[in-house]
Amino acid sequence: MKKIELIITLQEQVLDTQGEALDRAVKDFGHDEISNIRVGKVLYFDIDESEPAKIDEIVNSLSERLFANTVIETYEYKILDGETV
Amino acid sequence: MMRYAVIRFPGSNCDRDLYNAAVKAGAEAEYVDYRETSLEGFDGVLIPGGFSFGDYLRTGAMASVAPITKAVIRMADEGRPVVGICNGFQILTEIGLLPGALIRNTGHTFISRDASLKIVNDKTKFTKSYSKDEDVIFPIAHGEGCYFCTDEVYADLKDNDQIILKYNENPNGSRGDIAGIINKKGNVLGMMPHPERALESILGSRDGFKLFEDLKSWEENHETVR
Amino acid sequence: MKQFVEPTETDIKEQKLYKEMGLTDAEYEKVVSILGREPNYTEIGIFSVMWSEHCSYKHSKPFLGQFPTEGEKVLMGPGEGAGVVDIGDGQAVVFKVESHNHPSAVEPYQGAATGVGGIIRDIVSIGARPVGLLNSLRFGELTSKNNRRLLRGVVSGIGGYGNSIGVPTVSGEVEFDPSYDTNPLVNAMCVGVIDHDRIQKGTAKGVGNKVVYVGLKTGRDGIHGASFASEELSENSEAKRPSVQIGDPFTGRKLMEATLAAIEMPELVGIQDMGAAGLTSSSSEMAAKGGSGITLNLDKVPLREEGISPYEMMLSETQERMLLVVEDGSEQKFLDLFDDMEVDSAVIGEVTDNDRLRLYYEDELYADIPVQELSEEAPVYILEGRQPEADSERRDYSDEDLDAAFKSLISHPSMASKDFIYEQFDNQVGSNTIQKSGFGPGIVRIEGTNKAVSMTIDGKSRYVYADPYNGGKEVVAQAFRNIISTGATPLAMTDCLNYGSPEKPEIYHQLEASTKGMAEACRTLHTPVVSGNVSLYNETKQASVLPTPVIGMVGLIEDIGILKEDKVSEGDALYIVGDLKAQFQGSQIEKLIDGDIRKVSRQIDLDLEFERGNMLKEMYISGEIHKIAPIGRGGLIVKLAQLASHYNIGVDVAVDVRADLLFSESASNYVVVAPAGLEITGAREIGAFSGDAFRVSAKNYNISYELNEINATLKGAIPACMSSVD
Repeated sequence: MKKIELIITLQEQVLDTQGEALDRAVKDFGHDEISNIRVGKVLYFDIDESEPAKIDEIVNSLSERLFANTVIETYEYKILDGETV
Repeated sequence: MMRYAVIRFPGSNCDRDLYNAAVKAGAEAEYVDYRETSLEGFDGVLIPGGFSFGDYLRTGAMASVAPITKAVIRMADEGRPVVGICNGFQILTEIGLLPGALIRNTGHTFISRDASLKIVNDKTKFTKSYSKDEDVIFPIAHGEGCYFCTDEVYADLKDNDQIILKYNENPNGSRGDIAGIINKKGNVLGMMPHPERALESILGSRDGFKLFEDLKSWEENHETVR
Repeated sequence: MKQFVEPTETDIKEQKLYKEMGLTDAEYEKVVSILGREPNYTEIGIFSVMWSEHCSYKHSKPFLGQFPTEGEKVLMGPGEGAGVVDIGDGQAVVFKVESHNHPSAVEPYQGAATGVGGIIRDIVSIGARPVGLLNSLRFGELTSKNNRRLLRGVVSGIGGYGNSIGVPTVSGEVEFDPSYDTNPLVNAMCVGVIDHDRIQKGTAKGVGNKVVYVGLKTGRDGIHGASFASEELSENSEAKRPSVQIGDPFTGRKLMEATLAAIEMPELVGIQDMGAAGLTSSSSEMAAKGGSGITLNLDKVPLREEGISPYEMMLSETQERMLLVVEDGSEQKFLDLFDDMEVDSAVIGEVTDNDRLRLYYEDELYADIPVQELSEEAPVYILEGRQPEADSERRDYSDEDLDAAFKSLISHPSMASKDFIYEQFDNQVGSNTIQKSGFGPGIVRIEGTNKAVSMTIDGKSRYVYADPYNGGKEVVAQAFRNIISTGATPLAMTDCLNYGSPEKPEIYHQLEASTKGMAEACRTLHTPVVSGNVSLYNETKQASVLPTPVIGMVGLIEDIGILKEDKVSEGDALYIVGDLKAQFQGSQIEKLIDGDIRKVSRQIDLDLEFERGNMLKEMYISGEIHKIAPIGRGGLIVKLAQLASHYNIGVDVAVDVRADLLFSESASNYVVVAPAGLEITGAREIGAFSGDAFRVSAKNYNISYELNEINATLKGAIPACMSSVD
């Protein structure tokens, strides 16, 4: 059993309206040093599989079919407990 | 007589409106639960607006992998009419039956108002009763209706006359003011505005009625010039 | 050995733990005498929520008793989830308004969203399909960043829930006033339609009948929300954030459809929403109304996490839940139905004949309370009110810069266009909305008929502050005028009483006098009260909100043929119906120029109101007049600007009165649009819709603007405030 952290964000070229709004809000707080906020989603789940290649196949397939919309989003994931893909 | 399946996902909320519109225009319609796997006996599919699966994860995402989806794809492949309105449009792009994606309105907020639109292509089986550049009023009601696509897809849409409906005043940041598109084959239609809410002048507009009449007579509508 | 570590009976008594739950020493003693022993932790928790102001109306009950609640059309009055009123042909409308002020102050999005969800469930629990939502919102001025944040959050919360569940939001009112700074008022109303033979009651009857739980799994959400709603907001409120519940419109929609399906089953005995105080209020109220007892096996309650104690379960305010009582032996049919509709459900108990609410967890008894005493013997407090001294009246503003006043008023968010807000609400889902939010009541067609329901929500707190008694009458009259303006016959109303702390004598007086005035108006205008809600302790930083009774009223339009569109056109004449008397106490020009509200009596003649309203309604139905527009905030001149902008036609009006009377807010007045030369009792022709300029003149006064400028000012006011960055 492994724990997965999957992070989904909008692709660079897609306008992130939430990010833009946050950018403005952060500036209102007086933090001019912050810019380029991108808002994403993070999913945590357990997977009953230990072989990295298998995990990679399952996570990629699900990400492309359901978790992310690859027309506008990109994703990356980590196997928690130190192992990273 | 065309017989349409109105797909009901949990969270759909324009299913009754869409069903009523089809019936009012003289077509046959029946609700089909998203857990079904067959659309046998139907001549076309209508995917209603709403918040399928609560719009959770991403609008249309979970509906795009629901049990009924394979049957919807089969219908589209067979060249039968498949129409998605609002959330239905989002679902069709998620399935990949239509190109591009619908993302959050550039103004962040949900927008509900009567939108003035232009029929860009009147040479489709869906719009043959309209004329080119005809202005129509359909209500819009969405938070994620900003049409997004890449430059290549946009060029493609224009080259193939796939853009059929445009906003006269862009409310949501949609690329090229796009409000509705069809696929290359011309049998899959997706649009953010709600023609099913524009059937009676006492409710504000009856400009949507012709679209449902065209759906009723789909079989007889002549293959279009493109 | 109990498996949950909780304070003991002795701890509760000696450390006075009941005080943290909002009970007084005397109330604790009353609990002891009812039980004949000291209450345990679960029991005292149950008493604390049932005896909170929110559930027991302990400070407001005597006032509510004044309201007329019966009428020939009333099928069900106060006491159930919502009121029910006959609309003919075997159908009825079901409606209620409810406040969600405190939760919205702490977490505006969720506070407003759960307010909408709760009122929808109230309507659904009667068995009705919701057809329209309304909201009455009050905030501090938008010059403050915090008020903008609250407005943004509340509006997206209302939309987030209402849009998703698929009920159109068709009308509302919004006011901005410094008195609501940090304590916004968020009142939501829902109207549903039902066939007479489907009307359900929240009752538990029939020994052995099963208690079925349906909806979201219970978590620790909003524990002590009902008592939280009955306290003053303080610095500590922020720390109480966990009290705020989270709405789930997706489950809400499934639950709504599942409930409406369950109501079709003859084995259903009773049903109630699990709203404030959740499982506690639903189970004990159903038992009390059915004259029965209820035993619950709490280990059967569907839970979101492990280790939730009976105390927490009984007080949890997890949203999207209903409690049903079904005939013994039929429970599986209900469980199967809910399973098919993808909502969680479980049999959690049964009806008994012993008048006790008994709670077990794994066979161990956690509470044993007599049901009738719990719901009927809540304390009632009758306090002493104090009428403040009257101020001197200001009857003349004609020396002020009225041109500047006009411009300020039409650019103030209270009077400007609310499109910024209403465009965030789906107002047409269901395809029956004839008139949507933004200009008068909502009008929703009854599906499959030629009838429609007209619905409005209104409040006039500045008038009530100036003169609680007559102001109370005016609030009801204003709602009456709104309904009349659509050609509808007013049927009945619901009320939401938003006030400060009743323990302050002036506030108590406001409550006492305003409800008396409201009750009189209900009688004269033939609009009985069929449901309602009370929200007290709306206070922050030593200041109370203005006394804000909010009225929701519903009327019937027999034939939608009278609502032909585009009746108003250029060339139509404009009339004023009623006299422009000097009545500035509580007005917007007073607020603008003087700031304070003068406590001076206001005048309203209810008989005249009724007669005039009915006359205008008949003339509208017969087609003689094209539009009825009641005059409200800002007086005649602001109404003319709003009309010009709405129809996008200029106006040319001359009134032979002292100029400041254009701003007076005297009662019972309307602007009417009709062909020129028409005879209307009590009316005079003052001009016409014409051209593309806004021209109004009075004695020694005239103003002229391009219509575009009026339009831009009204439409741009709120967006301009909201995009401000200070």
